[in-house]
Amino acid sequence: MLELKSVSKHFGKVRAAENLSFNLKKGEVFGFIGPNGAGKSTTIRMIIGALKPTHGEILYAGKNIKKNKKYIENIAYVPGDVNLWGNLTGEEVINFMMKTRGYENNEEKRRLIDKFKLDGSKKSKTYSKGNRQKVALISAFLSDAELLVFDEPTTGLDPLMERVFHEEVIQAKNAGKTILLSSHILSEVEKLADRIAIIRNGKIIESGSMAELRHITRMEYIIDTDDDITALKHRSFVHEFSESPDGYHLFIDNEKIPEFLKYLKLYNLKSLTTAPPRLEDIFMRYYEDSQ
Amino acid sequence: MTYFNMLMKNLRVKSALWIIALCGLSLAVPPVFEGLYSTSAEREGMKVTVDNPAMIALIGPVPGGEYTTAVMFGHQMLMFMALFHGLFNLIIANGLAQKAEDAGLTEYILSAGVGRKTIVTAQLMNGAVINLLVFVILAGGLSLYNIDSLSLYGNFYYALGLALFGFLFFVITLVFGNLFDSGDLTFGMSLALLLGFYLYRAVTDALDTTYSVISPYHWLSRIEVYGSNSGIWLLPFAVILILIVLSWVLFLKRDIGDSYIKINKEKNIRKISSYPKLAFLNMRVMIFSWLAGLFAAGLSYGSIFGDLESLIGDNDMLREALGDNNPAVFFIGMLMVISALISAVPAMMINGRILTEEKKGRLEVMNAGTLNRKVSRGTIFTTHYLYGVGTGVLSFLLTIAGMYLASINVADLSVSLKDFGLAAVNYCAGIIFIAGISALFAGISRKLHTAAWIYIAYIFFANYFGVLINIDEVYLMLSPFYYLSNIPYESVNISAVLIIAGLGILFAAIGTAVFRRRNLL
Repeated sequence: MLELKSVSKHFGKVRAAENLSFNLKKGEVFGFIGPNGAGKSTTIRMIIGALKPTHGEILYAGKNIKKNKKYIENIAYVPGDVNLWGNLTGEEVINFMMKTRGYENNEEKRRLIDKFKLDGSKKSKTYSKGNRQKVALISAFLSDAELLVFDEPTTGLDPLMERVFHEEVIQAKNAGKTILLSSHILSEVEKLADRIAIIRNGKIIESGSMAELRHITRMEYIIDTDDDITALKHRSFVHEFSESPDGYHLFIDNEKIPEFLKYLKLYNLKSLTTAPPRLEDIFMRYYEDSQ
Repeated sequence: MTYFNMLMKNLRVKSALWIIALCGLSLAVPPVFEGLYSTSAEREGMKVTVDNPAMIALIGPVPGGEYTTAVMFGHQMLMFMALFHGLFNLIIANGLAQKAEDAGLTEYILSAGVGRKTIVTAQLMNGAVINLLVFVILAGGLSLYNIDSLSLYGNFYYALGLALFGFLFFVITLVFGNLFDSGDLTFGMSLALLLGFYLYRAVTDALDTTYSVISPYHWLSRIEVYGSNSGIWLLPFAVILILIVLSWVLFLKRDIGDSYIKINKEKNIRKISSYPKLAFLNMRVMIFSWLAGLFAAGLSYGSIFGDLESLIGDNDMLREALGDNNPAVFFIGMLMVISALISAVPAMMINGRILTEEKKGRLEVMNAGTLNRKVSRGTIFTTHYLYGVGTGVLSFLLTIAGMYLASINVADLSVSLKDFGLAAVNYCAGIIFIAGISALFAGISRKLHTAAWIYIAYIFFANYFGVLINIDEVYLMLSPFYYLSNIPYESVNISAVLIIAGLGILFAAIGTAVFRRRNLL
């Protein structure tokens, strides 16, 4: 439903986005990952029409958004840094967004306000970042937009609220909505996204379904044992082998996990823990491959 | 101390630009006066021109003694420069204290181990340093001129007077920051006081200067710089010391984010169903203060029309200088132009608020998902423009109405109700023009809107000096008021009114069209 075709954005000499192409299919959660300053927000702001691409085109439902200004009515957007009108209460802001979107659903509003534990009667200027975020998130989930765009939505939310957010994303997806979720936390996107694109320095370096991208992720294993397992160090699928007080740390290629487990049977393990792949590990791996 | 250094560093460009502009303005004038009024006969002629209630209301009472170049400079510049020095200090102090607190910076600094006392001291020292610089540059700059009447003492009092006046408003803003609960409100209240003192002395100076002593502006007048140099009138500025203690105590005794005066605690959920409603809610305090303020300004101007008429209506010398018309009418026209310019300020402020929506990223959030006809960029832009023009025009109409009401009892005033009506129509075109420039610049780029402020400041000074020193007409050609006739002094030029207003609307339309297409940065 949304397609970017070789989209670039230049600010003078700075190339904030360079030749980006990807598409979102109806009803999927699309993860957009990259470190801070990679060009995520620039890309998103081009999608919502705040910025005009220098080159390339953005299509919504097959039509160039330049020619179809009304496409924006189908998108709800939550920025990374939410600013509200200080003199309005949270609930007034939510009501305003509801009214200007042309519908009213007070029951659903109540449910979301309760679920996100928002005190909607306070003036927005007294809100913390997390509370401002909640107001924007509730407005977005409440809307009848087809496409929800979230730019780093969980920064500022506590872990409980993060979970509420994840539940709501899944619910929105089940209701047939399409979701674009940008984040610099890989595990969050991994949990929710059907497909992802990884952006760095304004360029997309990988994209595809999580399964397709498994080749670029490596699982980290932490092994506590009294045995000497340094022999493993020389296996081709073991990377960055190191020793630390909590045990041995090593990274294993995903496709070689069965082989690795076979080796492990030779030792007496006290504990075996795994750590999910982190964004920086992916980048490390990516650089290794490109060298 | 490190906190003080940090504040200084953070402010250096902004305050340097202000100081250069303000001091440059002061320093540019003496040689111009010296060139224009080289003989004492010419200077005495000028003295007669400014010795009437309208001019006294604008620039203060005429000092006794000989009207030398330096005396003329001190007399004609001090009131306006004080107003601008006050504004400069107000903006800096508000940014330093209240806006930083609104943004959570103060709390952050406190958490980093900087004490409350250090914070207030650093803020106060910043104000002191800025105004010390003003003093040094002004006093030093003025003494470089080789003009006899620019005496050392006079330079000293001129520079010190402005520096103290500036610092007074710096401290007042700090105190207000403790009283009121937001940067916007602090700004509004401090500005109201700055303008209020000015208007108050405009009326009392014209009627009876004994009542003027409450106003700090009048203290500057009474020094009579380059004349009697009465340093004793610097003494009232000692009130700064009390205010320093007050700002200190008030800040130490309250919670961060709290204020001593709390207003509007609304409990009901308001129904805000469209952007115009939202914008009105956000700006209503500002809109109503401007309307009330300018109506009061109109009343105060109107109240001196009677004296104007009786004092200078029959002044043959002025009549000769101004052609055959009644000089009183000429000055009334001038007051109207200045009022129209002041009315254009709220128009620009309201228009400029769209840039805050843009900067804070609220604009794009509002755009997404909302019905295009309700909250498109075009709608939001037009809302601000219309509110701006509406407030500007309405402020001016209220000023004119105030003038009319206050002068209604003046027997045989040479300005009729019809003249007031025509003036309203005539000068409103100028306001529409300036609002159009503002919309055009805001439409093109957020940063460019600053140029619109420079533009209005330029017109202000061009018109001000246009009256005082008959500057070359070329400099006036950028001002819409140059093309509009001077009502009630001249008869109305309807085609000029239509063209100027039409251009303003055209500019606004172009601004809207550009704004709808450009990047939001």
